[in-house]
Amino acid sequence: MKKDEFLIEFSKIIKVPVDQITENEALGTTPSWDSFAQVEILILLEKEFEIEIDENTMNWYISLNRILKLVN
Amino acid sequence: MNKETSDIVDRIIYHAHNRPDKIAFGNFSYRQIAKKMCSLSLAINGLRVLVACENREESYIGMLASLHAGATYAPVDVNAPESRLNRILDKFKPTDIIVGLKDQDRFETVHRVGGECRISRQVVSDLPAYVIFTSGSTGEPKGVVISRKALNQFLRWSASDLGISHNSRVSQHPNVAFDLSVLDIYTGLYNGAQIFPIQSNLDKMFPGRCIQRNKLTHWISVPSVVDLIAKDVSIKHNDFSTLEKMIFCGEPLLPRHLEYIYNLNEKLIVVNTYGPTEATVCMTKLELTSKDWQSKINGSVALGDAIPGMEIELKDGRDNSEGEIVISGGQIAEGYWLQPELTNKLFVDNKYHTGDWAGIVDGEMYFKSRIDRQVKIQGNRVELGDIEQCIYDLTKKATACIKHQDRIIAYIEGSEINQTELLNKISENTVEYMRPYKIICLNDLPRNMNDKIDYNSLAALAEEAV
Repeated sequence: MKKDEFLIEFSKIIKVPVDQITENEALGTTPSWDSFAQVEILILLEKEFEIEIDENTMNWYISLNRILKLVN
Repeated sequence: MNKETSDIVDRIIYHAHNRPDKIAFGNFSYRQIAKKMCSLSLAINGLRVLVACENREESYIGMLASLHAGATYAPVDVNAPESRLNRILDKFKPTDIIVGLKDQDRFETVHRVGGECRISRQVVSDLPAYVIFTSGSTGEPKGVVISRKALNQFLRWSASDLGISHNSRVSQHPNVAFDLSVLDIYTGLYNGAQIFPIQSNLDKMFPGRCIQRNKLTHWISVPSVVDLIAKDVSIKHNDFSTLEKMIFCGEPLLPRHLEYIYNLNEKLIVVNTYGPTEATVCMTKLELTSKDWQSKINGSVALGDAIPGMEIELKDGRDNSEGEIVISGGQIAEGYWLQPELTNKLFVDNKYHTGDWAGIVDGEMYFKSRIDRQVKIQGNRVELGDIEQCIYDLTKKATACIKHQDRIIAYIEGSEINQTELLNKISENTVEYMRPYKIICLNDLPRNMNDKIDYNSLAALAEEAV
């Protein structure tokens, strides 16, 4: 999955239009990035980038900035 | 040992003698938890024990030690805001505070969970078993006082009627400060089962994987956890093959929850229960299967029948088919902690007036709304929950309605709403005085610390919006 494709999926999950997404989006900061959205984001990362969902990854992938390092 | 007369502490000691090496929870066997319970019990000096442990396993031992010592405990969520903890401390005035390894610096004069000693008999006591502090409609903590007799009556039912045995593997999802935890912790331990605290972030956010990994046989939670499980698309048909029962309480169980569950495993038995904290966890039960659940739906799932020793009736409705749920029986709370006026107001003639409005349809009782969610609009009684249900049916989005200046305002979670189209559809489904004057879309509906809609915040928003 390329960055553009990821951002489209990400945008649907956090309910922010793609053109309004910034690298500052984060769990607890972006209003609609709640625990439900976090589950969907982690599952997307698991499926597309084969991350293993565990306590470490859950605590790490909590901002778009960090996620984009995986995507790029 | 006679199961009819023994209580949870006796049963722990019974299992410690008869299945000493059986794991109760974590790495602790029944013999170990009995020894830890007795050791901590010896340290308890007074009558009121605050159990303030972040770790669930330490909380369980703290609560059992308090019961063994003949004291009354109040469990708290140590992650709650400091102001709430302080208000509970002010009200409960604990004589003893039990903390875990992580929490010892937060409170003064504490006992740590840890040591072990010889197993001994419990102290005979008439004091209440526990006080659960709920939020109350004002957000001010309100302590519900549950007697040992009420707890024992509840456990005699739950231990014999929910299919939990010493072979069972039972989830422990709710925080110990929430009274639903009494069901999974004590019913599991009463019957010698292994209980699995859901306390890591991973397990809380991916409960479906927790069920699989731990080969759970019984899942107990509020129904909305099913929505979280459903988010995890990796969970597939038959993935819950070890699961025998899912038991729900605390919120209306909805058709979408059952559709999801029975798509995963059609052999599961789902148990819906109803009851306020004032009834010792729950006091009705309805068992559902994949074959019959659709006949027990009217907006939400039917509440079921009163369990043995409890009675339920509807009062103050237009006729016998609706009314406020009024309950009575041996599980009713003693009242509210140091609040005699409120106790006298809601506990009348040994009956508790729940403030929940219900209706009877085809012989089944269904929860409709809280009484404080009934309003008068142009002289007509309107249940705001009915309008919320109507909007939810049309949009599938979370909705909350309030009355503001004799008009209804609807808040919808999300932004992609064609308001004109929606108002037209609402008009087709409701009478005129029920139609919202205004629809406001919010990214997220405001919620309180129990994840319930915060109607006070919505009322404040209405002041600005109208």
